[in-house]
This record gives sequence, C-alpha cells and structure tokens, in this order.
Amino acid sequence: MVKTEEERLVEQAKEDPEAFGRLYDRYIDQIHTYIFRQINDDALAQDITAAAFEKALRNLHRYHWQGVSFAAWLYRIARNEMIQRLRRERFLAPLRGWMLSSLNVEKTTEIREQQNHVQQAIKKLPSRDREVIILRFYEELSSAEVAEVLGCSTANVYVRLHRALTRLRQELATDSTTVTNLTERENYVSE
Amino acid sequence: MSLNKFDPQEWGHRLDAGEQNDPTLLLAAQLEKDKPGRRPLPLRVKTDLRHRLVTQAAAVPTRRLDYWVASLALTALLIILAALIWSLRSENPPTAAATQDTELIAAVPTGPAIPHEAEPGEESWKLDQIRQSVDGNKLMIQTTLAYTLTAPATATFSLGTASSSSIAEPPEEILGTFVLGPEPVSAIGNELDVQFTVDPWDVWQQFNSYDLILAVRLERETADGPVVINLSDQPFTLRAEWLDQIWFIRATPEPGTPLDNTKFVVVLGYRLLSAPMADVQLLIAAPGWENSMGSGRLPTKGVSDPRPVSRGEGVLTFIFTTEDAAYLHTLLGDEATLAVTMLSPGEDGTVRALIQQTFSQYRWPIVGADQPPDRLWFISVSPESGATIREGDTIIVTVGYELYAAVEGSVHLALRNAEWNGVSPPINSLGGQSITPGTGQVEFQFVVDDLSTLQARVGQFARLEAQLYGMDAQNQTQQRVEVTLDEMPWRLGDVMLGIPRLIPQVTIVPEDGAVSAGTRLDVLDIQASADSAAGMMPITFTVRLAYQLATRDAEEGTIMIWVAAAPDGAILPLVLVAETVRAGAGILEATFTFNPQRDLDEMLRQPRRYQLMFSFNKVDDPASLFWITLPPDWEFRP
Repeated sequence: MVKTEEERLVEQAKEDPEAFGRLYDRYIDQIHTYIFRQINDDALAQDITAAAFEKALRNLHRYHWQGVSFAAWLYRIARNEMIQRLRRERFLAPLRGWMLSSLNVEKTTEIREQQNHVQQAIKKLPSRDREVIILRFYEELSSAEVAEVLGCSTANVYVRLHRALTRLRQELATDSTTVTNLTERENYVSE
Repeated sequence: MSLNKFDPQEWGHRLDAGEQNDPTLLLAAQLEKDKPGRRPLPLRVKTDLRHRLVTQAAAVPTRRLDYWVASLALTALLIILAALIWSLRSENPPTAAATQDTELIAAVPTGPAIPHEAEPGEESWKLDQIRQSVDGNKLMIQTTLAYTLTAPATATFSLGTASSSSIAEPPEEILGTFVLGPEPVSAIGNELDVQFTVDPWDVWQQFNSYDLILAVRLERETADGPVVINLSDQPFTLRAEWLDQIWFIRATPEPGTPLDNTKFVVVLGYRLLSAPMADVQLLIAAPGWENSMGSGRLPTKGVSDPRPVSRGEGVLTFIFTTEDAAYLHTLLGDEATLAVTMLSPGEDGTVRALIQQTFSQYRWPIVGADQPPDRLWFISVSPESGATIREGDTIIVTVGYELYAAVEGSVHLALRNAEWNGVSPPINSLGGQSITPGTGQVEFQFVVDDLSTLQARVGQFARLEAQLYGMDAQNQTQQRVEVTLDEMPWRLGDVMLGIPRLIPQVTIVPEDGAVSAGTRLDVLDIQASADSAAGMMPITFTVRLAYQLATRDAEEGTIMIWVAAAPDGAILPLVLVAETVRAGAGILEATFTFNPQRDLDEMLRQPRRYQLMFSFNKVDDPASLFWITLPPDWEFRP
C-alpha cells in the first residue's frame, strides 16, 4: 500500500525531531483553535494545547497508521487532555463570578460583535452537541474521524450530529432575523 | 417532507455527500461554509513550544537508552536488595514461586442451583471458588465446581464484558465447554477444576472501561430441550490488581508514630505484569482513600515523584516530605495512611490506573495542632501607597498567605473604587494565581490597562484588594474559603481617568502622495478635560490646527474632526467639527465636547477606546484629500 505524505511524515517523526516539528507546524493552530472553541479561555487553551502536543510526542511511537488519521489521533489526545483539565478547573468555578463582575463590558461587547448569531447559538447548545458540531463542521474532520476522536461508531456520530443540528435549528429559530435566509432557502429546496 | 423513521446511516451518507435536501443538511452546509477562522497561538508561545518539543524529541532516544541502562542497574541492585530483605525479614514479599501458586481471589456467591423440573437433591451444582494465579504474562482463572448430577450435563464457562454504565447485554466470550461426567454422577462434592488462560492484555485493556463478568453457565438436556442455569448471580469483576501488585515493606517513621513535619521514607515492593511500563506514585492519604489522582482531595506536598517501573518485580524506596501537621490534619483528619497509584500510558495517550490502593492497615496518628486561621497580607507594593497610577503603569505586589483550611487555593488581586457611595463599588480585576496550601508568598506583576471600569473621577482614590480562595478538603465541589483585605492602606491617588495624554505641539504631516504638494494639515495642539460625574464622562477638547490648502481646482476645503474606535480605527458616524476653510494657509481652533451618552447610540457607547481623526477634503468631494489618524498614545476613553 502506498503511504500518504503525512503517513511518511509521522513515521519519520518517530525518529527525526524536525519531522515532528513539521507535524507540529501543520496542526498546532488547528488543535489550539479546537480547544479554544470548546472552552473560550485563551490561557487555558494554550496550556492544554501544549500538554496535548507533549503527550502526543511522548506517545508517538505508539501511534500506528491503521485507517485512523494522525489528525484524529491528535484531536483525541487534545480532547482527553481538555476533559481532564476541565474536571480540575471546575474547582475554580466560584471565582468566575468575581472575575466576571470586574470584566469591562467592552470585552463582552467585542466578543459579541465578532460572533455571528449562528456561533452564539452553538455556544448555547449542550456541550455534547457543540462538540460534535465543532469537530465535524469547523474542524473539518470526516465523520469517521469524528467517531475516532469521540470513541464511538460512525453511526453514533450521525445520530449525534442530527440531534445537534436539530437543536441548533431550534435555537436559531428564536432569532427570526437569522433564520430568514435559511427559511427562504428551505422553502426553495422543498418546492 | 417524508415522515419516515430517521435512518442515521442514510442521513449520514447524504451529509457526507454534501447534500442539502433537508433542513438539517442545509444547516450543516451553512456551518461548513461560514465556519469561523482559526485562532492561532501567539507567535511567541508557538515558537517556544515548538522549540521545547523538538528538543524533547531529540532527547528521546538517549533518554530511552539511559533509562534501560538505569533499569538494568536498578534491577541488579533490586535483586541484591530483595535477597537481603528475604533473608532479614519475616514478612516476605511474594516471590516468583509464590505467584505461580494459585491464590484465592474470590468465592462466587452461588447457592445450590436446582435445574428446571428436577427434584431437590436430585441434581445440584455449586460454584465454590474462582482462583487465580500468575504465570509469566498470563492470568489463569481456576474454578472449582461442586456438583451433584443424575444426568450428564455441559458446563460452559463464559467470560464476558459489560460497561458499568451500560444496560446493554454484555458480549460474552466462551472460554470453554466441558461435559461433566460421561455417566450420571450422584456424589455430592465432586469437584472439577478447570483452568483458563487469559491474555492479560485483554483483561487489562478491558479493565479501564469495563467490568468483566465471569459466569458459569450449566446446560442440561431435558425432554423439553436444553436447560440453562447461570451459577453466578452477581457480576464478578476481575481487577488488574490481581496481575499488578504493590505491597508495603517498611516505612520511617514507623506506623503508629505521630506525624509531625518530617521526612518520610517508604519501601514498597511491586509487581507489574499487565503493561510494559508504568509510573508508581506514593502519597499520604486518609484511610479509605479511593479517589483518583488529581481529585483535589490529596495533599500537594505529601506526594512522591512518579517512579517509572518496567514489567517485572522490584522494590522502590520513596523519600519525601509531608505537609505541615496542621495542614495534614485539615486534610486527612486524625490519621494518615499511605496510598499508591500505578499508572500506565495507554495506546491513545490516555493514562490508565492499574492500581489505586491504600495501605489502611498502616496508619500514623496526626497530632491535631490548633489550626491557625487562613491569612493574607501584603508584603510589598510598588509603586508605594499614595502614588499616582495611570493606565500603562506597572504594579508589582507581593502577597503573603497562610492557607490550611483548603487543599487548593488561589490569590486574586483587584482595584476597587474607594469613594463609591452606593453598594457594590466598581472593581477592576488585576488577575489571580494558584497557590500551594501552607505558608507562602506570591508575586504579581501587571500592567494597569483599564481604569475606566472603576468609574472614578480625576483625583479619586482606588483601593487594592486581595482575596484568598480555597477548596475545602471535605467538599470536592465548590466550597470556598474567602479572605478579603478590607482596609489595605494603599490608595491610588490623583488618578487620571478618561483624559487622553495628549502631547501638545506635535505636528503631523500627511504622507499621502495623492495630495497636491503644499496641502497639509498640522495638529498643533490638543487639550482635553473631563467635565464631571462618574461613569462615562463627556470630554471637552480644544484643538489647534494649521492648514494649507494648495489645490488649484478648489477654492474651499472642509476640515472635519471625527471620532473613531481604537485601535482598529473604524470610523463611527459622528462628526464633532466641520469647518470650511478657504484655499491658502491658516489656523483653525475649535472647542468641542464629546459626550458618548449623547453622541453615540447604545451599542457604540460601551466603554472602549476612541481616537480623534481628521479629514481634509475639497468641498463637496469627501474623498478628495486625506485623513489623519493620531498615534496610539493619543487614544482616549471617556
């Protein structure tokens, strides 16, 4: 079987640090973005990203190309790391109120302005729904890769995606201006 | 729209094919199309991390070699130590010979089972024991079955898996099928020993996520067909500890000695068979501790460094210092014991706990020193109390603390408006840091970046506050201990809020090549003053401009002063000044007031940075000449 360029790079990275550096260059922003989208905290996202890549480096020799992309493997490590860190961070939740009381409105407003309504609606979804939407549509992973990251079957990914999209539509429906275009297009499609 | 039952596979294939012929698929397409951009790591962070990782990667082969050399040396040492210990101690560790013997691991709680349609006493089976032994890398499960038979029967031993959180039928793997007696057997107490060999990797692999159920299923043919009797009513869980073991050898101070601030030396024996490598970590814990590492209920100092071990047996000596006795008492109560974890990295990078156990039979009383109250105090503050601070100033604060009533903690600093008349004085968070419980100090260094949230006027004072948070040992969730410094005598005086630090007599010359030679607009001077009131203050500007309009095709030009949003320079729809000037040179002086409450709608009125912008254009031709944007340090916030 012919190896893909990435497959060769991964094999090379097991021996050659610079090759790992190239994998790092390829995925660092992708993984960081994924984590940030889930937790919306810059400092924590940076920490988790660093920890995920360190873990990936330590376990790279265990990775074998068996139909699962390297990206999916990385996302899975990042996800595990994120879950572990968030469990620990739950302790800090009481501080949030104190911190938030002092955040100026500017930041909130800027964030709000930067995000469109769809992204705001995604943030309101349960984390399970949000996660599968982010992985599939924003991180551009295939359904099979999402299944690998989440540790479930592809069929289960489809079920979760369908449920998440249905909930997202309901969320968006509360903002009639946002869904106007959608509704028009849906009408067009259904005709 | 069809109301057919939802078929995830069919829908998924349409999704993957990019179809958009139902509302969810349409939304999916829109999400893919409108996905937000990536959020790159800051360049410095990215570069540093890359360097660190690549350096680590380069060190791996050497480290591995060092590791194996060290392991070999250690193994040799351990063999010698083990021989010494064997000869000196009566409490001997398990040996290779011992481990090859079977050990009782559980008695399966099955009573006599009476087959369908059988008379009591006619037939019964009972599974007495399940024993295990370790032979090399194999786990052997040995069962003893007592039975009374009046007819031949088949016994099927099944090993199944089931998720502890799932109600799904557990998949079963049949380990063996045995025919009990070629002839009817009637003697009570017949025993059948059956041994199975299970690949420990399978057992271990399942252990992390699943429970294993070992059941014995007996089948007997009757006139109505096969009758099945399951002898194991209770789920039977195999644990990895049966393969991997850690045992206590000795400790200094000896168990029973009251604990004080002291150094701990603990010698443990270990056996690792289910994984090639693992880390062993020892910690002080409350008797009965069962939580995993990182649960927040563990001491932070009374934990040894992880010790790597490889497959096999050996002895580990841990040397570490316990927490203060007062803190330990808060954490653990009246007694401490030792807990140990053996963690091994899995294939996917996750860490699996092979062993988590306490040695509750070995205990140390903790002398319950009076627990001092949690405290927090300022050690140093720079600039000194009473100094003037402005946005952009660097403040360095060192805070001392004593935290005993918590297992994790953090210190946070904030500025608060000290002259606020109402409730909830406005506050400006300066940041926080995690701290290690006990006695210590933590230094903060930060740049004051946004004083407008204090809603203070020029000359008012602000107070520095520190808060200490902690999580109580008895409450894993959100219990907190809070200490607030109410009267820190450091005050922020002569605060200049909202006033741009404008530098007079600065001349800006536009550098736009499209402008006719000689046309220029120089900002000679800007003076600004805040008028009054807390909150978003109106600012009155006095601006002096020198202009020279040198175009030949226009007799008049318009100079306008705008408000723009900083730092991106997006122009807000607000012209503060519009003056028409005639061609030639001249001076324009204008005084005007910018009042966000009056001039901007709500969305644009949120506290933010602004800047002045100047435009110079020919009359009736807004795009004709040029714009001037002031430098960043001329930004202001009302």
